[in-house]
Amino acid sequence: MDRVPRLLILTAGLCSLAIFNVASIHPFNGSTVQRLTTDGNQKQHPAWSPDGKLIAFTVYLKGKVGLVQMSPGASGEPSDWKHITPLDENPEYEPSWSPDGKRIVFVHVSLSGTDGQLEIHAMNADGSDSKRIVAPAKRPAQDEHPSWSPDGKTIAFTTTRDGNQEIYLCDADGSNLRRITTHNGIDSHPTWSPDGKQIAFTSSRFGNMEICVMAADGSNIGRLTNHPAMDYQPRWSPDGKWIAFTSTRDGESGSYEIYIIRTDGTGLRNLTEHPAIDKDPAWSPDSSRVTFVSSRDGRSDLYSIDL
Amino acid sequence: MLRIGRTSQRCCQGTSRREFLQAGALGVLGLTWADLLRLRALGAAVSDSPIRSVVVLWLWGGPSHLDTFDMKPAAPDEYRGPWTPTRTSVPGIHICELLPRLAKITHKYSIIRSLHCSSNDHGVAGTIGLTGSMAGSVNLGGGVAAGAVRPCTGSIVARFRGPAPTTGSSSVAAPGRLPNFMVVGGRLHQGKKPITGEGGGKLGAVYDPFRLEYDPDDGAKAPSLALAEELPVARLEDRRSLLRSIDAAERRLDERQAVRSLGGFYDQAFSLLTAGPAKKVFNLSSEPDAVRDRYGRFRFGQSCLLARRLVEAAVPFVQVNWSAHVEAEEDSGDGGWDMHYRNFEVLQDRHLWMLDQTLTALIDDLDSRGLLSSTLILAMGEFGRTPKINPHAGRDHWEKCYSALLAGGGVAGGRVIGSSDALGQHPLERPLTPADVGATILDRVGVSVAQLQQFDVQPEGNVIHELF
Repeated sequence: MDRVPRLLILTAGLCSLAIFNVASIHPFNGSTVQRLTTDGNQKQHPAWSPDGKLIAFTVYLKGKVGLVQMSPGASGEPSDWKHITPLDENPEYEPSWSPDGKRIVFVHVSLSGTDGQLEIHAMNADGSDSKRIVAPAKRPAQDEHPSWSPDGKTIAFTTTRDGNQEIYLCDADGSNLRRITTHNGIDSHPTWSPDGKQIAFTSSRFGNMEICVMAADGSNIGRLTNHPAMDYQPRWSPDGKWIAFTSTRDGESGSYEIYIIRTDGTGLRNLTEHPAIDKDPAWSPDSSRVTFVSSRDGRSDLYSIDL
Repeated sequence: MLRIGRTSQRCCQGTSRREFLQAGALGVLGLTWADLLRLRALGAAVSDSPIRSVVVLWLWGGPSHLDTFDMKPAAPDEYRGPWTPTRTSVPGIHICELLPRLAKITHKYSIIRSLHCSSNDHGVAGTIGLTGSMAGSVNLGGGVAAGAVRPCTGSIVARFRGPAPTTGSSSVAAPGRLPNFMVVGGRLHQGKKPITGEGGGKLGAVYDPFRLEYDPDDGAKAPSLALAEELPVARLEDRRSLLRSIDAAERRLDERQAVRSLGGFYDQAFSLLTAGPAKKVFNLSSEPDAVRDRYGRFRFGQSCLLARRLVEAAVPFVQVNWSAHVEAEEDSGDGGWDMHYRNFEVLQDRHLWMLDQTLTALIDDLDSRGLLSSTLILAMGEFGRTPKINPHAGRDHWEKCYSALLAGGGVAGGRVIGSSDALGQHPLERPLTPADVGATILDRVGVSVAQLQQFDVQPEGNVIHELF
């Protein structure tokens, strides 16, 4: 980038910083980073609604774990959040929107004493009509990482019902379970390609945590990343061109970064380039931004960065 | 800033109610801390210790040794876990890739890879870890082990150290004004029940730790000193008078002569936290932002920063509890290391980078301040976790083999003491116990076996000389 445009970008960034106190220009790649929340409570799993009007995410408040929604244009203060699950003894986390934006599938932890049982639940987007959709296994199992397919008919998730963490599919109502991975390693974090034909996921089957891609029926598993550091939490962009993921490959100083890579394995790029912990990427519906959780201002908040 | 109350009201001494409540020098304090100070003065045996302070980072819940300091990359998938070992600053020593900052300073610490204990119950193993003995421990079902609870290592150190040194480089508190044993973090629980062994045992409750808690929203707090807001400050003097009366009777029965010289200790207790220099030690906001960021702006990070400040203030024994409960937040806990499921998810999302950041910051910070050689740091949980990954992508309790990290206080860095077998299931070389770790701490502090016996505390374990 030549000097004048960069200067303009930096100037614009400083102006926006002065006006909103939430946006800044990345010093190296010129991307605009916008801070979406400021409260600092621990957050995870941001997920944009398909119409781009809301972001749902997991928040830890006073020892409780629940799901909230907020408008990306709002102040980001907790007073602007809408709690869509009760902040009670039973934690809920990891929201995934249905493609029509009407439903959210998530993980509900059913507690017995202090022992938790992870269950896949679904509810209306406003938090109503919440219920378990994936029936319990014959033996205790942990179900998590739900991801709604682009056609709305299928949910991918991980479960330990076969004695190891594997990826399963079920119909949107939780019925018709079918297993699509089989490996002694960890398979987790499924995310659908926008055409619904492929699923990217995290796997340790190659010796450490890598991003893999397979056909939606579990066939043709291939690795998208190949690095001795940890790559995980893949998220497929709505336009189908990129997969964002969290990586520690620049982590000699302990940092986690958000990377993007094209689905053919080219174009690898560190999107965040910050010594803090940046993780949990989530694409905006127009694929122009990635929202993520970062400790860059000390604690844990949501940020968005333009591509 | 130490915070307890909210209102602002001046009391007769010119200290605001808010300040007074923040300091917490009321109620429970008036009854216990004064006793602590008084009895400490009565029975203290100041030793010629090679180290000034001990910091124990209690990783409650049981960290997985295979996913931290004793990786087994050649083990089958169902054992080794999803991460790879990374090289460290010491050739030949590898630790988990998610501990990169610790990997850079391995020359400053040593690892024990052959710890084991006799119980896989949090409550029992916790008592063993803190006291070196199972005696008096309470298991999950409520069963109580035979024998009286042995004093925990911190209480023994407090007992034998006596008044804090009157010399030192402290810039944040007047020497001699803080308790000898301080815990930063909530009282340790298994399930809903507190465990035994986090206190003075037969030495008496006066050697229990004085507890502080750090909350990212509220700062440092002294929960045992909480006072009902409605209690008038004017009643304080009444309580102190009552206390004096009760103790006067006690004194006539015991310690008659010695106590006569201790009249000032109640006043010391009363003013301990309201006194400017002592109060400052709790005020983390006085630290530069860069330092606070370096430790991490989460509970454990700031708790360790508080621990460093207590070390600067010459507190002999500081314990930082990672959590009060063994369970993760997902199990209605407060983020412990007990990961029967989601082990890898939680470790990669939270625990490992937090431990990496904070422990590195603590070691480096003490080093840069010239305090590492006089401060022994121990990071350890009550046990490890099953080498074989369980059917829920987690690891269960494993007391047969686990790891600990020690730094400072004369510990030679870059050493690995003991080893485990190919799957991390059992010690292969130099099996060691928590009692050995406790004996090592006491030895470094200068507590002799004869001194232990003098106060009817049974010596446990043997000094791990290879650490030094």
